Amino acid sequence: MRYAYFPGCVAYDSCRELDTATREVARILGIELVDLPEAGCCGAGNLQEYSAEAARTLNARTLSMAEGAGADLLTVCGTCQLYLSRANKELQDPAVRERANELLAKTGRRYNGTVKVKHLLEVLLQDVGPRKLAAHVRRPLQDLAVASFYGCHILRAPGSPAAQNPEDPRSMEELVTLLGGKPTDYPGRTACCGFHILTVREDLAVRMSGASLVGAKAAGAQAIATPCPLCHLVLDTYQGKSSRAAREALGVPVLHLSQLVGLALGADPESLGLKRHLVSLKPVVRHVQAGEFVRP
Amino acid sequence: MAVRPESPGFWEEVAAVPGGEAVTACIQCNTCTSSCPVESLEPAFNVRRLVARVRLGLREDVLSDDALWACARCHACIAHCPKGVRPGDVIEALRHLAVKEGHEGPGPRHLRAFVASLRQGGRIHEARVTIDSIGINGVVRQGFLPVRMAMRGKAPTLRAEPLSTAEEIRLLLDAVEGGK
Repeated sequence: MRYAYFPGCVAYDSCRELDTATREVARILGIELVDLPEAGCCGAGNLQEYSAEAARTLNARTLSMAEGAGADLLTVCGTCQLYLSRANKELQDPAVRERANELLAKTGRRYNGTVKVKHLLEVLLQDVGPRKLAAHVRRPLQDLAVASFYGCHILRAPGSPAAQNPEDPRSMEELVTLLGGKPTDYPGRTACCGFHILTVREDLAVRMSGASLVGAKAAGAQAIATPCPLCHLVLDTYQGKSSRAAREALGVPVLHLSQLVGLALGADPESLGLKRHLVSLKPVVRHVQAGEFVRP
Repeated sequence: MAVRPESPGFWEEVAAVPGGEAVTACIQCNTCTSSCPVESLEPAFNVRRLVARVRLGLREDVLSDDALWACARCHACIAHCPKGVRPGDVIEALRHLAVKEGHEGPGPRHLRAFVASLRQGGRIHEARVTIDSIGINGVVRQGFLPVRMAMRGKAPTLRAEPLSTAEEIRLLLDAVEGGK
């Protein structure tokens, strides 16, 4: 299994733990990640608003790099997944692709439309598959109560399995169960974290994420897991502000999808960057280490 | 409220921007607003009314409205609209026009900061985008949060390495903006 790996800007910057955890999970599962060191930003909606065509062209550039590597593109961010797969869908139209290629020719690149854009969640459940994934579990999650927080964009990305049933998605819960955790049902699984208005209307963003955090806590979640680092930033880094806005003590640990999987696969917690969070993950690590298998 | 449509052709202008094409298909059913996670917290941001204001030709009123920038891009309205209006994409088109026309405010400022960072490095430099978006005063108002982030090793990098091919990004952005 081989993918062109696109961590996204935030996994290169404030959420570097997502990048290290993803590499660790890939190593354990024998997935080869081909780096695309020159791939740029997906636009995250901002560039799309500035210029839809510029966004499509820059994403065609990234897709052409994956095509050059002869691999599908792997993302670990809901927003990257949405905007790259949207561009890819538009670029399936030969006329649109030709226009993008006219521009890309200035950089000596070309995209023929052959790449698929896949989020890690899809790769784990469909390409790796439940059987192989379960066989690699060395540290079952011990019925850890995990509340999934999908994030809007993975639910809206064309072609993504989580988008097939956006009102009641189940893929995260399926994964949690496979890893030995207990999925927590709560209102807010498919809610919006507010990340994209964090710099413009922080007051709204922390109330939006706060409502989901309060809901997860009330439902008995010991942790939240999210497949999107932007949701993670709001849910974890801004949790203190959400707590003040909601006038409730929260303290809900928030895991990146890669960290949750890495923990269950027996990765050293150090290699998953679990200390790079504002809400401590110690209770989660203690809980799951109790059920660890000793490696032969 | 007496409505004076100063720009009756505004809907055509919006429909010509990518994302705004289906703005006339709206039947004002309110499904978008009902599924919007922002509206219940900030009633000034009302997707259905925004579309209605476009069709009423309230051009300046819409493009200068700060509430236009409260949309969190969750795309729930796009998923739910029964007429294929793609209201979230109409907002994308409206923001495009507002920025192109030089409107100011926290929203346009953030968008410009984002694009400037992308243009410079090819990837987003979070610290720079944040500071350029909310200003030093905004950073000060964050209180101890940046310090707490730094203590966890979670602060964004202060100096980001641009892509060695960042020039390609600028070339493509210029080519698109230049029209050819």
